[in-house]
Amino acid sequence: MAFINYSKREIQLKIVYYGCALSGKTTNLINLHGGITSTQKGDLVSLATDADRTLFFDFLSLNTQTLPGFDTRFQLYTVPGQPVYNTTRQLVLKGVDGIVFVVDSQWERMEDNVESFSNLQENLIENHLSLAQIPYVLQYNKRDVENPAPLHYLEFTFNNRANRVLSFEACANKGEGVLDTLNGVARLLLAKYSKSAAPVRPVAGEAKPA
Amino acid sequence: MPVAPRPAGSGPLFERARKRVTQRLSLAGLNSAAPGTGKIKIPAAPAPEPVAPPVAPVEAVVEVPASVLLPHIPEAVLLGSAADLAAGPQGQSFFRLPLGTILPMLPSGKIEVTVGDLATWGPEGVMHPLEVLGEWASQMASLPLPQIVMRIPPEMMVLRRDQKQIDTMVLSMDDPFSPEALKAKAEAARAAAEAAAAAANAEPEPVSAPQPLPPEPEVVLPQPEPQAEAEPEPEPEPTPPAVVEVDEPVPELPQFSPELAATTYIPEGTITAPADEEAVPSAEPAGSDAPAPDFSFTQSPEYLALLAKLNQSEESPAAENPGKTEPEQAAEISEPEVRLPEVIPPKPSFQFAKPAPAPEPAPPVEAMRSPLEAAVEATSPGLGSSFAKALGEITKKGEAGPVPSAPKPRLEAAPDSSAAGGMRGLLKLAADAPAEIKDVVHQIGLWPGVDACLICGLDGLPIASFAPPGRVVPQVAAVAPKLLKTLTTLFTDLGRAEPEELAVPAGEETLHFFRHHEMILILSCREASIPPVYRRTIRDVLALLSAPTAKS
Repeated sequence: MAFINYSKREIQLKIVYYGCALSGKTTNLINLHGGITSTQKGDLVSLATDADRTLFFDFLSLNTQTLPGFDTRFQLYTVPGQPVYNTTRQLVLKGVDGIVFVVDSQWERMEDNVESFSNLQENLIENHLSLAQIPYVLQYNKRDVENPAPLHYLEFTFNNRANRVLSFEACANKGEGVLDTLNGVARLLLAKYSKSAAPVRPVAGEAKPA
Repeated sequence: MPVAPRPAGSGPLFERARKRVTQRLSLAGLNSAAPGTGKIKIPAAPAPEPVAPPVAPVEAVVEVPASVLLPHIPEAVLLGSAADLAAGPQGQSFFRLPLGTILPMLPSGKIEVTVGDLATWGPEGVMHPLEVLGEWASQMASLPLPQIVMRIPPEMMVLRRDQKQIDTMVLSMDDPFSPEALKAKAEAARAAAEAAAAAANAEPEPVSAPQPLPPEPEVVLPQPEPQAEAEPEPEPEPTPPAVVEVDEPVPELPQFSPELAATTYIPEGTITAPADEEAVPSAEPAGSDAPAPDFSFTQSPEYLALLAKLNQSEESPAAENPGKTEPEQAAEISEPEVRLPEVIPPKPSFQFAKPAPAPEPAPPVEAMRSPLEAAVEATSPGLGSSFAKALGEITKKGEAGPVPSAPKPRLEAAPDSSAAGGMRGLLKLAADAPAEIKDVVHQIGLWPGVDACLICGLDGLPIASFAPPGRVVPQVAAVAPKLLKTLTTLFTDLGRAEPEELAVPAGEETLHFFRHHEMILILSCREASIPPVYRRTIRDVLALLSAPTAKS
């Protein structure tokens, strides 16, 4: 859930890149890290194995100012996609605000994609959440591979739920669609949190929301 | 399955209703007091129209050449070898797969049907008839997904019509990270940097003076006078107060949804960025006895140290106020009375206004780095210095002082000197030199008959390993805790003591698992059993490594 730091006038939103192993989650973050100006980003923290597989999580912090008077800090995480690290995935999903589900467009990875999508839903339930509550977008990555799965099939497979969600084509290794995906999920989050019923104003002596 | 249309006035329901009506009318006629009068003429049921023989509903099918599917069908049910059939005329015939069966399978990412179904859908002369398939009929065959999906018309894969569409507010919103905005910000940052550089060149400062901070907007703000009750400091420039008291009206704040306001909290664990309201334990002086932070999600002390280090790097108060003590920082951060005028930028980080500490003669950066840090920086420059430093902290030798909440994997700290001496002999470690955990693992990995050695925590994350190339160390570490936990549960149910050793034969090797508190050591040996002296040494090593964690 979002964390508001009134003293720094900052809102922190946590976005998790989820998907099967080798689908390109870390590549997304690396590309974002390289493409975003230094004033907006922090260090990219990555814990990877010798084979460049994410062991624990990748972390990237991005700043922007979209809500008036507040800086918005997007904290981007990835999860290890390998099935054995499910506990880690559950931990990283704790307190998630938005999700980017990265789909590998290769046919041979389709079953893994579906399994990972199911795993995401299970792990959200473990955290007392569901896809109906958490804003998420789909990224169909690796569109540059030979003979990728067609879009209409990917939409039929992953975007045929009660709520239609934003989906993006991407080639994360080339940087294509990476920023669009981030903007998509960021817009979802900002729209969610800017809808208001009553203003919230800190007053001297008033305790911060706990 | 679409239902075949039934002609009006037919069907079992209609017949049952007609029979019931007929029976009632007949009884009424029998009880009539005036027989012969009031003849009731039962209207005859409409003559049933000639019912057409049940016709199987016309179902859409997808035709897939037999040559495509033959490699995926068990040879035993084919009327010849798959290659011969594919090369012959049968290969040009088609399997007619019903879309009603195939379409629901597509979202699963695979298409699996029974061999019996395939025999039904397949052309003649390819598979044995269904009657002779026997048990084979229920066997599942996995069909090639791409070859089938590409033959299904796209219009057949329609999304559900009751889908809730995307909010128009989302679609009409500007991108927070548009390329134009990024470019503009990059230009602004570059211009600011150039201006700062020009200013620095125009008025060079003495070397001993504090260096100016980066040109953040906060720097140009007028600094308030120091408060009277502030503790006088010897520095010429006073520290700005933490609370900014301004009488100007409070600027209008964005309106948040009640959900957001109600759910504002500090996430559990430390995988999220550090909350500024939380005190950062690493700011305390070395050697302090203050309790370690509560990292509830992992038990691995190495990772606690690593994550604590990572959290420090995320603009934590301790990182920004290195000269202040923890209570001072906590008092600053937890101050609720922050009222900001409109002219003040939204991020009044008084930390930036604090004068930089007096420069100290620092050794060159390379000299401060451990070899591991340097290696990480050299091989993975994109990982960032904070990770390299944190990673280096785990295996750094003792000269840098103790790291809060991190164990000291040094054998020299052995409580039992005799045991440690014997252990050192077996591990071929010098008696007077501190040993790192990786050295211990390396030495164990060199034992005769041992192929690989690994130490991991209860979270399944490897801490140190020694294995030949190609060995899948992380996966073994990942499954070890669950394996031992399951075994412990079973033993507990049986009323037995918690097992601390486990040997699992795996092919030509045997995996030996040793557990002591929160440490697990895994050996891959060619021998099914390990001599007692080696086992004792392993247990001693684990006991030493677990000692700090066990205390906490």
